[in-house]
Amino acid sequence: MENSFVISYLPGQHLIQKLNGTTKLLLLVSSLSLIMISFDIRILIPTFALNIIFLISVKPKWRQIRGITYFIVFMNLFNILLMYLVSPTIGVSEIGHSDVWFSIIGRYVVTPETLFYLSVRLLKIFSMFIASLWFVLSITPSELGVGLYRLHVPYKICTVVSLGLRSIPDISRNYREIKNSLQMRGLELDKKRVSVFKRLKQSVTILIPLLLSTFERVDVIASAMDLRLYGIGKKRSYYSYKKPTRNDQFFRLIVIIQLIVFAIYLVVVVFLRPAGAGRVWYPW
Amino acid sequence: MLIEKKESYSKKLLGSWDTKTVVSVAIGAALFGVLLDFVSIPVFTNTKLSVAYLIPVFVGALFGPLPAGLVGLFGNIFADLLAGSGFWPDWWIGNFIASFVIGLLPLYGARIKDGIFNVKHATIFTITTIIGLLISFGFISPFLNTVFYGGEKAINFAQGWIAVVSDGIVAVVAGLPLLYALTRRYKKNSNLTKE
Amino acid sequence: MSQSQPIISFKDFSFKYKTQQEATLKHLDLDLFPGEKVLILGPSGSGKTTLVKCINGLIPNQDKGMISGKCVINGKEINHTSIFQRGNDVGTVLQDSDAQFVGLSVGEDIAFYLENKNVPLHDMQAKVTKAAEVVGLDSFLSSLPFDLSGGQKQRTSIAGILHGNAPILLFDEPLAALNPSMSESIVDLIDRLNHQEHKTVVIVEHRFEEVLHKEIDKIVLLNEGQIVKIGKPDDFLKDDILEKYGIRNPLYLDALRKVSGNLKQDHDLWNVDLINPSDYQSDFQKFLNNRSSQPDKLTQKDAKGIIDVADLRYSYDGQHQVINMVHLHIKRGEKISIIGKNGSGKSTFAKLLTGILRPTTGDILELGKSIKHQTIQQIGQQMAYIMQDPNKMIVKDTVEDEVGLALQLRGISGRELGDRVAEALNVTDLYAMRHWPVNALSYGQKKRLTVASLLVLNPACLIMDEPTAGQDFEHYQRMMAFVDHVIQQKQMTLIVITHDMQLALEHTNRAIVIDQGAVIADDDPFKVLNDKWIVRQAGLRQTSIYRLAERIGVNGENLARASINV
Repeated sequence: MENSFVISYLPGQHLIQKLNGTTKLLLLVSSLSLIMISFDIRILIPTFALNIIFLISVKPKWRQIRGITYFIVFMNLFNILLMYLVSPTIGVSEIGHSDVWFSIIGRYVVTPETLFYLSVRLLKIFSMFIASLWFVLSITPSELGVGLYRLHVPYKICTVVSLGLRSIPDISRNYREIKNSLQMRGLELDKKRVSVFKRLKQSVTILIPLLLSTFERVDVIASAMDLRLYGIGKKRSYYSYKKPTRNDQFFRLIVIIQLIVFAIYLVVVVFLRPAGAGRVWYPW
Repeated sequence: MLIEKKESYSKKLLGSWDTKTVVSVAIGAALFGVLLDFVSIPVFTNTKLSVAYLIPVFVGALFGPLPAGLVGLFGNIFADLLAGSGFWPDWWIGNFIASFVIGLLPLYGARIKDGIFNVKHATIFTITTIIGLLISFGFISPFLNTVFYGGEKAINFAQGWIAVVSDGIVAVVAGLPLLYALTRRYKKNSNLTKE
Repeated sequence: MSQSQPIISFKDFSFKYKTQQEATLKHLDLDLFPGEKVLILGPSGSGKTTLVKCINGLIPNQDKGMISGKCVINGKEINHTSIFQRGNDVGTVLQDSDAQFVGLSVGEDIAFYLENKNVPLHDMQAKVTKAAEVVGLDSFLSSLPFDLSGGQKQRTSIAGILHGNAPILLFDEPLAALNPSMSESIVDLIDRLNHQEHKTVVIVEHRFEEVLHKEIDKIVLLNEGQIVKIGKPDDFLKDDILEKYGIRNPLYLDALRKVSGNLKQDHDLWNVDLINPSDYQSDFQKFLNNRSSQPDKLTQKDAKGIIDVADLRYSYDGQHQVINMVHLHIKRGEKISIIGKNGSGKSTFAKLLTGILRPTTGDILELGKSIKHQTIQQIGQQMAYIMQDPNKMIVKDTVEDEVGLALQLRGISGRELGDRVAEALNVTDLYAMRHWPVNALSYGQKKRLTVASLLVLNPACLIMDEPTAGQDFEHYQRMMAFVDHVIQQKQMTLIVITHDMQLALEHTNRAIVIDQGAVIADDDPFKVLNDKWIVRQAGLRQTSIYRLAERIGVNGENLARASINV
């Protein structure tokens, strides 16, 4: 299963992958903030384009991200369809006025506002997906830990992040071994043959040895850490820390620009928006 | 006396942050992430029937609500990092609150490690868990999703409510036997005779 | 040495854990001096681990309890020293090399101590590189734990305790998970730290002979929380007192005693190369002339085939062949050891046999039928696979339920279930404990339970992964006696995956050596171990009996066989 994770445990060699951990984190956070707060395609389209560039720059293997991309595209197209079925005039209520182009049946009318709104929603989700993808492909657990620490997160929390991610390959190997040994005793996990509830019960059966054998090791790990002085001081240094370079300065500039746009949007659109006006920017 | 009691409450809420707690939360979160991604039965968009919710039950029983909440929060973040299918902070926050409430066990006197867990505790556990899930997935997560990503309110809330039901089933129906099993485990085994 | 102050000193020292009725350590008096290399021996439960914890500060800082008497480490009394202060005096390497590997890469794990002391990055990198050079890992700094061998992980842990200039290094069963050639190199490394870096070294380990690969200054024998004896290795070896305490004597000494009746020297016993061969030559020649040197044929020629492997190939990624086996034929009743280095393909082979992995090309026949179209559950009827850690296999609350689970899952119930469970419990000697909760069982009993839980299916073959790893000699003997008994009762084929050559010699009659996915030797274990090329390829070491035979001038294979089959 180690190979099936998208997150990498080895530092990569491309520009974004070589950045300092804090820079990557800030770049993600500023991108996500913009994507989440904004319903304005004048902001969303450039942000989307920027994140696409980031993603292409880490040269992902299509084979590695193919499955998840299809899944996201399919799920969200389905979600959009569902949204339309539940409220066919969602765009109208968000934007405030309506031009009915034509009617399909009953209350299902097609309005440009709804089409526009649903496209904005898709754009937001895909932007977020792209942003998360380049981030996951370019950060290692240690960089994430030290990146958080440099943002003044208490180091015990940083340890939770880096140690937790570090132990995931071990845990998933244990899970597989336990599952296999139970299958050899006769446990059927084949989806076609077994009902949802029975599968839940079986998952619980596997979980008990997994829980106990995993938590059994907590004491040893904690002792090994204490014996090497974990927790002795208020501050801690990190072996995997990378000094920011000129490239980092460039990307931090992008971060600052994104944060300024975020702040302006927050003040102008979110707080100062006149009552009754929609949060979606609509060109027509 | 009163102050002492107050302190012990805050300690129960926050847990004591020694190395063992740090390691347990890290490992609990890793388990949560792995289970959420690889051991779940899809029910609806972004909503799965997952045994992952037994992890905050376990961690809460041993370490209290804050460690349990962090297991939910970081576990969900790990799951997103592993899968690569986007970041959903609306659910991170929901999972934090839900797991926090699930982990309240030591606050109402359930002390699994000392072998103390009775019907009263089980009842409170069931009620608080359901309330916690209602607040987090029934209200906060769908609300945040609508704010962050502009989803359709009714659908978001429907998803949330399905999560309340499915995670409630896992946390209560599977969680209670787990708690009883743990209690039995920590109770001293005396008078064992070969027959 | 005697005029200097002791660096570790226990005076009438006792310790009782808070949760226990009786003291674990009782009235210890022990002085260890700077620069000494000390081995602590004792059966499981003798208090070794507790002693280690007193030295490294986990007692009283983490494990609370009652201390009486005095314990002074590097001039500081343990009651008044925090675990962090102690970290400057004592560096500890633990047994579990996976659990103590907390960093994501070798470099990070070596740096962990420095990180916690908030050492600036620049200094840290220099120190990590230096420590890695000492243990020979300087070209592995960016490697991940998943790609390392047990020996490399243990070296990483050792490097990680070298920065603080702690004068005392403490090794808690450092060899438990290592194959023979790796443990030899770790013993060499520990010796180098003792001599070149002038560290006081305390080792707790029950693999006695392997520690003796390098000279030991002092041995402390513990039993039931008390010191039985302190002395030089030869003091313990000449009197043959160790086996009473669950510790296996060096094999060559056992052989000398068996053949000559008694030892003809009382010093220089600790190393086979110091034995005076001329004293024993005539005894050994007489001994070997009197017995046949033929391997005993335990299986009849016409025994039925259980496993047939034909042109088996397996690859994870379509490029690297992990398994490439032309032909292999295993019969009913055979006892087989599968031997090979980490990553040689031996566990992949076991996974192919049990249907967890499927061949890329080629096929496996089990009981004459191809397993290609059998499910893992169907294969499980024939092949019982026992994992190393019993806690990963046990799911139910009581012994009886656990044993019955495999039958329940296959829809068998009522009378038949009861009968078959009872039979499996009887064969494994667990019947009297059938109502016990699983967590009341000892490690060895849990291991037996996992065997019972598969025996109910009446499998044809028992596959065990490292059945004795990390257990002391007494438990090793009990476990293997149990396995021999079960195999004989149920007339099963035994396949053991192991790196313990003595186990292969004593309990199996065929050794299959795997290297880079291919079978490089398939023969009588005694013969296999006589072939130095194979021994090197498989990461093994010849047992000291072969070395003894070489020095005395007799055939190693014959001597090994004869000395075991006495």
